[in-house]
Amino acid sequence: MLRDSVILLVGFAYLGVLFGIAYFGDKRADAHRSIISNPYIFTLSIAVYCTAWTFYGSVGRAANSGVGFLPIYLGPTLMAALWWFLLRKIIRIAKTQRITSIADFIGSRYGKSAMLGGLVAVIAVVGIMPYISLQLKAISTSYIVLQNYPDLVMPYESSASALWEDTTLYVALLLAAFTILFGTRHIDATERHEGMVAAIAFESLVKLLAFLAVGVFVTFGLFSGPADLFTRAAAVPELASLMSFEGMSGGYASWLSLTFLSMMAIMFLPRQFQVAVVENVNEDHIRKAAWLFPLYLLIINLFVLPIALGGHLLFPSHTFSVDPDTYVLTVPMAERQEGLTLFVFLGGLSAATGMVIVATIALSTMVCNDLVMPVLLRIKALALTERKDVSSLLLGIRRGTIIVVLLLGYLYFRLIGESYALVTIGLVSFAAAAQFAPAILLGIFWKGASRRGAMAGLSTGFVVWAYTLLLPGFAKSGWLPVDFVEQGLFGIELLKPYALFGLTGLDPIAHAVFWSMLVNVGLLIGVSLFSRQSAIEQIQAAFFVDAFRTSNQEGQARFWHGSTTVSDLKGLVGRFMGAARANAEFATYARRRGVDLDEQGSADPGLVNFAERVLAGAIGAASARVMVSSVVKGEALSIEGVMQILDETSQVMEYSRQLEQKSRELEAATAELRAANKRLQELDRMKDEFVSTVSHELRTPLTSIRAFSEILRSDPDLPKHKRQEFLEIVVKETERLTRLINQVLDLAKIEARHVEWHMEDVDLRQIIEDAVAAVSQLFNERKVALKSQLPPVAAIVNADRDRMIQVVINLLSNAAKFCEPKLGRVEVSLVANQDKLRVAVVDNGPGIPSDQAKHIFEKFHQVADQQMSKPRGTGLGLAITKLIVEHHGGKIWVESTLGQGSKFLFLLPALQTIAARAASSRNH
Amino acid sequence: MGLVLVGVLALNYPLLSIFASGALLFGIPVLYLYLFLFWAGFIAVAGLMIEAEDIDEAEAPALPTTLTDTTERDAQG
Amino acid sequence: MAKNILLVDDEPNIVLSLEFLMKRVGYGVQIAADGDAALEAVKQQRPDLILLDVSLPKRDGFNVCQTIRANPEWNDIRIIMLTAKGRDVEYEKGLALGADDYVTKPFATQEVVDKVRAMLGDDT
Repeated sequence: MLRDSVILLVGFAYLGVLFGIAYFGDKRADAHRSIISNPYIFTLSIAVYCTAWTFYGSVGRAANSGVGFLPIYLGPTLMAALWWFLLRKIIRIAKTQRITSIADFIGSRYGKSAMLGGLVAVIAVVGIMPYISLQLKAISTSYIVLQNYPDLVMPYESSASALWEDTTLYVALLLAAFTILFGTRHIDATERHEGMVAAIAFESLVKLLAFLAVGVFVTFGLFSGPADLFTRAAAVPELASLMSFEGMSGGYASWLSLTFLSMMAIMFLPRQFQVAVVENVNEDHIRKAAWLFPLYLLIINLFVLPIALGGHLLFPSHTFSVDPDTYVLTVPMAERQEGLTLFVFLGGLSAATGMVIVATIALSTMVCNDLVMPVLLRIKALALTERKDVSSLLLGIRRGTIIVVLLLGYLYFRLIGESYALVTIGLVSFAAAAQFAPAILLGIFWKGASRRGAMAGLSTGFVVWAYTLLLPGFAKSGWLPVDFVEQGLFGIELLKPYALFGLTGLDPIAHAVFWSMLVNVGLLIGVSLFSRQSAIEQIQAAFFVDAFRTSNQEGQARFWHGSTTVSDLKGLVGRFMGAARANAEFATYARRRGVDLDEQGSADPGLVNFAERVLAGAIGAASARVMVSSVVKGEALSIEGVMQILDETSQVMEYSRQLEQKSRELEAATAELRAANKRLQELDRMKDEFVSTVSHELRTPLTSIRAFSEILRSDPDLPKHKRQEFLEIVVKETERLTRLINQVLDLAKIEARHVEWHMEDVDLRQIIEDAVAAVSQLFNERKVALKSQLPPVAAIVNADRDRMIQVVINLLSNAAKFCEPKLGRVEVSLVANQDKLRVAVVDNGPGIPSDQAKHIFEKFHQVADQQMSKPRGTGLGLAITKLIVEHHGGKIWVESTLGQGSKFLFLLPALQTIAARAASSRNH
Repeated sequence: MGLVLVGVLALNYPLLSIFASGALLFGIPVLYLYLFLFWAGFIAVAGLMIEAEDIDEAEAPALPTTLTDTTERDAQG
Repeated sequence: MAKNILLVDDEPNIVLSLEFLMKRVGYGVQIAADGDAALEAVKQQRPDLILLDVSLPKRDGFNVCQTIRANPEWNDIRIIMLTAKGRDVEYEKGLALGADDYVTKPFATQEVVDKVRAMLGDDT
């Protein structure tokens, strides 16, 4: 006699054991002696795939359709053979990007899109809710059946119990408590829930053993082996059909669509993603799991048909009304096997609770990180970005979500669950999960897949799924008018949910899979081809697709170009994860990089990136980005910068691919290497040359200064005019030295891009006039005539005013230097074309030999002059001038014939003429 | 990849239909026998192949560091 | 008879300082601003010692040094190289091409004067 109290006691005791295992697992994880870090536990945790649906439902389905239950397990077997390539890549990506859920994964791939992540979270919740309620239903059914032991009473025969008497409610609440306790201990969701995984693995073992026990009992206890059982069943006409393919409703099309669905489900159901990707300890575990897991499926399915047929033989449908879904439980009951019955009950309980716990954790992470947080962060009134401690809020949201999800599942079970067979609900969820497949699979192999494409594909696929599967289900339960199912929406035949656009001949699942996948994949590819990706999208796409190639986050680190301090960053991370954990994370970073983090020092891009990833682990990629950008001053890298990095990255990749190819042809590779080596040496030589030239140029004035200073010191009796002359030289050479140092620094700053450019709209005429005024003294001294020719209308450019003046002054004083006194003529002119402004500085000096003309803008290049012993100047003026002009998007060159003067010209892009400007201002 | 293709072909129409008659062999339906034996064989072959897979094979060499230094490159431009 | 020194440098101020220094201790001074002018000056009037800068227009100091050493008649002209590029390679190259000594800019005036005097045997 199994009394209520006994059943409850056993049930709760079992949950207690699970608590114990989970607690032990967490303790060991804290001590860094993980018990789950081996491929066997990993495999068993993936077996959370086998839910109550497998445990009870498979037999039910087998009893109706023969081998019809098998595609659900053959699909994952086929998929597992691809894991080494597919799952490993996903895990690698998830690890480097600190992915916390499947919603986070998709959001991250498509430019850390909060919108996409949110959509996935919504689809997941809507799609998985029925599945959770299915598990609650299974627990409830098995409990009710067991309650009436040894009588075989089906649940629908017992009167519906009141809410507060409903054990299922308490089961739901207990599961919520369990999930909260072991699923939301820490904030960082990427920190694996080791205790939970250990408990899940244990449950997988229990359900397998329980099912095998029943199977062996039926096959060898009630019958004398499988041959006996099958032969006896074959004698019954209605059972004989189960042994051929006839029993399979929907035929081969159904079979194929179920295989496909389950292939997708094993990868993309949120709970499978949770155990296989997020909770994965070591990607090498895939190696064993890829064949051990299919083996687990094979073993657990071995006795499904014997139990189904045995059940049929024991309870002929005309004498008993026993639901085949309960055969696993009712067969041992009918034989009065108390112990076995209880064991089976525990097995079913394991299968159901395992699924509920993992699915709820996965959903709560998703809802919290990808749905609630992005919204909260955007509500300015909450000022979440300024709050001191957000970690408790995060935990609160997750715990709340767990309770809400379970209660929703319970509600669904109370309201709708009764009208559905176990198997239908499960497949509806599978079809929802399959919607994620295109965005993920295309996303990790095709860089072109864009956010818009993913949005379009996912949302439309989801809508089609809801219309062809979910809503008709509601209608059948009486929740919606059934008209639209039978006549089509608004009575339009083509819109019949089970025969969309007149497609008939498929069962509802295959039909829904066909249409939803068609629009999903079609829109994803189609929209992607015709939409542009933003910079961050391209970066993320490259990281996902090239996950095995980019071994570090070098490139990504460069995305942040702003500045912030280490303590600001630490404070930010601390607000979400607690100060202690933030300190620990940063210390780990410092240790790994071998750097000393100075609290007040500025954070390098690598650290900013690290902080973003740590935060992503807690609140999802999209929100993390918002938070980090709130402390990092200065904006993220410009589009051009990003494109340049991408360009470089792809160039480098292309180059290394080519190299790889060529390395097979030894000779070619050697030549290439030699060339590369030569280039390197050349670069080295050039750098050396520059340093040597600078030092030479500095030493020259120093030599004069030192020599004359020593002369003056050692010779106090020098005549006064000599003293004066020498002192004059010392002063001049000192000035020259100063000028040289300034220019070297200036040049270095411009080249290293450390110069702040104050770009504004300026009139180039004004600039030239200012420059002319500045050099007039010099021209007077040298007795060189200077003329300027400027147009009557303003010539507007976007430029750094002072730098442009510097350019013109450089050219003018250069011209003055080379002109003969008295005879010298210099003219500066400005010509405005359609979109270009041209400035020319013409002199009648000695001119430049044509072979020198192209080198004249090089650093320290000086044209040796015939008349004068040595040209004046530092040899840097024109180099700086060229850099400035080029920075403004212009170009500079010289036209000259020896003996006939030179003409220096530069072009700048014109912003707009004054007239156009006036016109546009009228429009405002 | 090829193995998966073989699996998909073997477990679907028309190959599957050969065994779908409902006949018994050694007292066990041929359909069940075929499905489970093929399944077991598939697991064995997949296991052997994946266990032999070299972990480094799929990884290309890490990025060369020389080209990531933009300042160096800009200095020449 | 006062000994004659040829100063070869393209920096007028450096030439001026060296000229002053050499004249002060009683040497005759000739001046050349580039490599070709230096060789011309040697042909015109054979100096006893050349203070020779390395980086010169037209023909660099190494070349001048080498050309002078190639002519046996000029074999006993003393040559002191002057350079602002104080690298070991240049130092060795200068000596290998037949320079007698090597001075790095900026130099100590006394050191140059002492070296010249020692080389011309006037340091007593």
